[in-house]
Amino acid sequence: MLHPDPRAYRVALVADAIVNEGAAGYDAVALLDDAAFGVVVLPPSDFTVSTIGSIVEYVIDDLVDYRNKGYAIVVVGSTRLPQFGVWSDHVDAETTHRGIDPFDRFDVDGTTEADLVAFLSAAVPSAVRT
Amino acid sequence: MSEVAAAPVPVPVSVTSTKRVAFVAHCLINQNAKVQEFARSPGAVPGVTERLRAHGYRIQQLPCPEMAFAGVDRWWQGRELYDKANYRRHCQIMAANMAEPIAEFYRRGYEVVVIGLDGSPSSGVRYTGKAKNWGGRPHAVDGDYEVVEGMGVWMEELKLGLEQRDIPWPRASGLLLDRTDWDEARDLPACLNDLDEFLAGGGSTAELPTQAVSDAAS
Repeated sequence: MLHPDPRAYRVALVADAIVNEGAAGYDAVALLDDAAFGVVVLPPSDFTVSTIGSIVEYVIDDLVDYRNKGYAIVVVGSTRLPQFGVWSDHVDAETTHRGIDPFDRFDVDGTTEADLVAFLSAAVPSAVRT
Repeated sequence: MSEVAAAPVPVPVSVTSTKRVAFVAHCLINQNAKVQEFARSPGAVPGVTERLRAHGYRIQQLPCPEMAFAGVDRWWQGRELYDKANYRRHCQIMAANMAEPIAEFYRRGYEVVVIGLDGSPSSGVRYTGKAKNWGGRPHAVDGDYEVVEGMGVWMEELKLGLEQRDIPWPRASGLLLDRTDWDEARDLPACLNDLDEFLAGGGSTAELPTQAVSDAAS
């Protein structure tokens, strides 16, 4: 390699309300950062966005590509939010349509920071490029 | 996290009390989308989330058109190799997708900004990257990639896509991370200070009709 590449091969699809409104009750974004996860955020799940199907489709394209290359992929949302906070109807439709396993999910509802840290720690990428 | 990233600013978990939103280049909060050797940090770029929150901005994320076009293991490309009709059509689809949430934030009274990735062939706002000698059999040496003034292809198409739908192009800037001589200790503080100054200036506002914007350009 010409230059070092410090990526951690970890990606989390995170509910907008968790990123922007503190919906977890704790700073989940800081914990994701500490655990070296990159964050993917969709538009707020209470918006009316007619193009959301296409937006989600591209996001799932990315997440599937990551997973196929050995990156660890997780979803962090809440059952208290519409669509788990991540447009889950569209996400689930995409994974079902493609016949692929759903992504591991963490529901922040009723959890503590330690619970999220433990969940993130268990998400280990299978392949790290050197 | 680096020492540089520990911004001495209050960082609220929630920004619901303000009406500001920043549409950021995808990789600013997910460095995994970068082409190999251009990631600058393990996950998010240190300090970006903290700066946005400190200035009261919600974080919204633009898609990475390079990732969606050629995947995470794509080759390096300069602006010349991305400046092709089919890639622009791909960017136009993404611009059409993103026009609606951007318009909705305008409708809800938000100040809107765009934060790009300066130096990027796709996501640069103030600076993009050219590599006139790249093409054919992959081969690259340091110094091939030149950062020049101008927008990346994706930002050009996003700006055009919004304007075609009568949605104002928001106030916009970028973080100049895409340079081959990047040195975090030297360069990141300047980037974050630059971001601070930009964010303090607020965003664009607009009154838009309630009609769906996705069909407005057709």
